Amino acid sequence: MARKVVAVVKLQIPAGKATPAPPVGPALGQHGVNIMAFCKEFNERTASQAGLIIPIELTVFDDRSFSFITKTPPAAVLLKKAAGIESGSGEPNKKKVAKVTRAKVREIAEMKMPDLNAASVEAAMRLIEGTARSMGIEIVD
Amino acid sequence: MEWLEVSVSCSRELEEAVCAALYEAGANGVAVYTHEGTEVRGYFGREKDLSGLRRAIENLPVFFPFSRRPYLKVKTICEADWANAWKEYYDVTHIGERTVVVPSWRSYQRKPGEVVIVLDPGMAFGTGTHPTTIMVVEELERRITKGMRVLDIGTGSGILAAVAAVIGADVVAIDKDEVAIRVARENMKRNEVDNRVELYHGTLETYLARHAPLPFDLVLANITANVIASLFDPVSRCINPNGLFITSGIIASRVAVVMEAARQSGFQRVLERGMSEWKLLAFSRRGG
Repeated sequence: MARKVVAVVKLQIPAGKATPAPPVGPALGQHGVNIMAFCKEFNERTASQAGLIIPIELTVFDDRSFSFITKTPPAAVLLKKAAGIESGSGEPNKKKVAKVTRAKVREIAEMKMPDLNAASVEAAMRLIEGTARSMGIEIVD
Repeated sequence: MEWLEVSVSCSRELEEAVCAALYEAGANGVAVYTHEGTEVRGYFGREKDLSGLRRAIENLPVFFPFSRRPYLKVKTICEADWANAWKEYYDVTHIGERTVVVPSWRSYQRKPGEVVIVLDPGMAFGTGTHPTTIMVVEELERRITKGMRVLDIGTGSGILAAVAAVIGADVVAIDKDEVAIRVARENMKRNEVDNRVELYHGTLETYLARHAPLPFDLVLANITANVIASLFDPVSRCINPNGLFITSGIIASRVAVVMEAARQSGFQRVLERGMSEWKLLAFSRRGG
């Protein structure tokens, strides 16, 4: 008999470093997923991407088994990499910490298109630009 | 242990920016819920000062002028709330030909010939429901004979050590995680094999430096490819010349890492099995 989907959970976790601590524990525990089994599988599948944050979409079935797919990295991670900075600005209105080009924003938007709820690349670019500005990153032509 | 759960309700287009704000505040991962609107949750230690994060979230509409204002709320959550929730769904599991894993909070009437393991995995690895564990248990059913000497590296909940000991082996089980050793000790008592299983907290290297064990007939490592790759050298120093090293927990794409390490330490693959995307590889120093 086909398994029925009971929940879909989106998580972003450092590669190879899932632990039963939040956000994994509370997100999975409430759906009856065996937390340690998930951690083992996630860590093994992402071991080679150490240092990156990996977003996943986890599907929980009615027998409490699960499967997951990995998605594109968070915009914040891609923007910081493009800008060559470790962290964003604490006061993004006043203090700008880096610049990225509009071409780079387009590149990130195109990469993230499948995971963004955007009607067009231009709409996706506006989301990325807003996220960049909220981190104190200026967009330049 | 208690945590601060910060959940931010926002419109969909703010999701990435809210995640960014949570990361900037030091969140170690986030969860995103999109059932009715978008809610992003990040977690912090109880003492965390959230004023910078509140300001960042309140400021977001400045950068997304057409968006609904995000709403932040904070509550304190306790580990016990989620750590035991999955147990409700963890039931008696039949694996291999005759092994039955019974959660310690369930009851089960043993049938003749069955190997029954009573287990509470707690927060340690190994429940018997994962393909990597199932494949090793199947090998144990076939290979363990009374009095065999078995080494279980990374024992976790102790499930494999317990199966081997219940069938009749003498087992040394090690784990570098103290929680695992505590959990495994309880599980050995539950199965009345605590006199057959020696538990050691530490790595194989430190175990071998402090003990001089008789060679093992069977060595088990159900961990991950990288860790397994580092074990061939110490295992070569404590395995019987005819002994078998069974490795599991390897995802198909990582087999090459294990094979290369095996080759360098003079081990040859004598068995390869798969279940879904997971591999079990067994090695010997003599070859097939």
